[in-house]
Amino acid sequence: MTNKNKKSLIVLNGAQGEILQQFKRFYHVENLISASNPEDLLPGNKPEHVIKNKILLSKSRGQIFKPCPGTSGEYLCCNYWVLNQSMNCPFNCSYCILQYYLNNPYLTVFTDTEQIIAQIRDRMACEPRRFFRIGTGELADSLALNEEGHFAQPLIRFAAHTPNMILELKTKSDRIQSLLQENHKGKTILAWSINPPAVIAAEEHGTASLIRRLNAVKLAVRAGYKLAFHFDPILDYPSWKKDYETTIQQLFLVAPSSQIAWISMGTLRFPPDMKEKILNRFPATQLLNPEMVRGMDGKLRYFKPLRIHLYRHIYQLLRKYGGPDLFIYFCMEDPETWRAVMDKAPDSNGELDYWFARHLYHHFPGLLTEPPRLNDYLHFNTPRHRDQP
Amino acid sequence: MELMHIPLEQIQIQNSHFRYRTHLTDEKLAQTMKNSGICDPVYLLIRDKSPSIIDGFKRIHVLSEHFPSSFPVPAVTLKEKELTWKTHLALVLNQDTRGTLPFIEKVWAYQMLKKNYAIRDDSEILRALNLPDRPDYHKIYPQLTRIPQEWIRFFTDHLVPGRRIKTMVEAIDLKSCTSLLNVVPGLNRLEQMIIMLSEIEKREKLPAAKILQNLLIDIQEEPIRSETLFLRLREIRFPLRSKYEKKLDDALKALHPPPFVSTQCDKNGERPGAEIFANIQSPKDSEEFLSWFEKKKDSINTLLNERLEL
Repeated sequence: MTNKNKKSLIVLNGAQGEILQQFKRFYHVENLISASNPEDLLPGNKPEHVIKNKILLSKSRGQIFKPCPGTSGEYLCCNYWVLNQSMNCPFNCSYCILQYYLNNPYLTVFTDTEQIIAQIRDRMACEPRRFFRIGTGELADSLALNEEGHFAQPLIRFAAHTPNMILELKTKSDRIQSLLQENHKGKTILAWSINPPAVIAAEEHGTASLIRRLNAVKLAVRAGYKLAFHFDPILDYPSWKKDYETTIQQLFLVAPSSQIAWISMGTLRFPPDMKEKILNRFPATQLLNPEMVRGMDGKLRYFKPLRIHLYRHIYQLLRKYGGPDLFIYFCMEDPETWRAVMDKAPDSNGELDYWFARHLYHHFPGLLTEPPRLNDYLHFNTPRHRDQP
Repeated sequence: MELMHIPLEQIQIQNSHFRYRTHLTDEKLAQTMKNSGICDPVYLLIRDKSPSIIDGFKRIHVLSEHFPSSFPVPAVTLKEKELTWKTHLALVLNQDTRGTLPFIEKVWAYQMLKKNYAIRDDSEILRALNLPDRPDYHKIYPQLTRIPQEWIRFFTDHLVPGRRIKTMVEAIDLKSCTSLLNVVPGLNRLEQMIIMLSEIEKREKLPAAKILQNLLIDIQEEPIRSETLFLRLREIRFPLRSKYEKKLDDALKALHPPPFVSTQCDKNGERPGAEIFANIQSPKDSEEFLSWFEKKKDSINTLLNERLEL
């Protein structure tokens, strides 16, 4: 994926430390820039797409640890916490919002690990009784550039010694070699976005094949990492039933349910104006063939009976091959869909957050120091600001 | 530049490379000219002593159809060195003083200027003509000189805005769906139908022309109404939604409601159930409604709150 000769570094004022040194071992520094704000690099002349051959190293600005922006409307969000330690992605998934809405077009990694960790620590101190699920895969692929930058390692070490949190590193790559020797103490989840090979080939350009992802899963299992899988976006296409079944079968051949923290499901969704951008960039895509409607949050998503149909099938497959103990949840679905597929629905985002903690407490004894209490999760204290493009 | 009268028969009107008006026949103009003659001079380029038209194609066309060939045409003549792209652009803009030049003709004018003059930076032309200077539009500008006549006529006559033309041209090869114009839909419907057709074409891997042809044969209606065609296309593009709406209608019908009762569901299907509307006009209607409601209360509640399985 990352060809040494094809990438170069842009180093902004204030970028320093171990991450910078790591990257320098692989890539040459093309530019040392006195600006400290990535947005200042291309004033008024933003490219249409992410510049994939330059990695911008910078210190972070503002709050980069925050609640997942979720979505509006009646869709349930799990109160996940996102840490935007890196931004943008070298891959080219046709459906990915990162391809189309940019403030900063560069693959960006923030190097000031101590300040980043301080943000997490400060926030967690406000709610000491709550268990935080924290992930770096919201605005980037967590691991696509990590073999060169080793920027996930300090976070793994921090998580290993911090009681009320778990770190999730989400990827479509198989780039986990440098993580295998880390002493993660079971506090890091390596998570993969999973789709059938046909979808990966057609829509997830540049990512690792399913076989390579599953080989990486095997290594992660051996290294004792907890696992998570994200069937998101689930796509509707002529052979989806058969393809998802084969994929799920293959997944559970390598991933023991006992090690799986959670599995999410979500069907394709995106802001309406992205449709034209997708067609311009990927004219051959079959992504837009199914029936899509404008959801309660204004985003286009599959017509609900179709979503329920897809979910039911995949949910049953996950139960069939993965067993009854899996924690399966929806990313951005409404209570009706939850009930139609799983016969249950959380009453609120807070309750769903609590369900996670309760599951982790029982599934991984010792991970949480005491049993979670619903009341600690029902009052979400941080205002959620949505980063709508 | 010189103002003079030149007999109609001496003016070359075949030089189509300067033409940007999409069609020349104009009955209203013909009538005005029959009543008042020609007031504005046309512009002619004198090349090898022979005058050829550069601006005023419509007027010359009307004159040649309705006036004798000896008719003296008031004309401003230009020598070759006097005709620059800036002069020509000014002539085009003169036709658009009231902003009435359709988008498609502005694009034709832009293409005409680009073709006839060596212009290094065409952004000034685009700005003057109020045409978008964006890559997506640059992609469609050359296409707009090659689309079928029927579409050009439609876009001109209906002063179709650029963004709508762009959407249609990007979505489909307009040649394949010229028959849509016979059904005379409104502009919104036309755009929606084209988008649906293009999406069906992509999904079914069948040419749009074939899809449309089958559909027109299939519709047993003479003449075919645009709403019928729209609904049929919608059924093909959105089979699940159409089926869902039909199911709701059928469910209401099965409850034998009074004639003034109708249902409406959330068109996007995100919320379950339907809303029931009663257009009550008299105390008798009110009584009838209440009695129906009392009898069918449970089924009505189901219809109001639950999602019908497809």
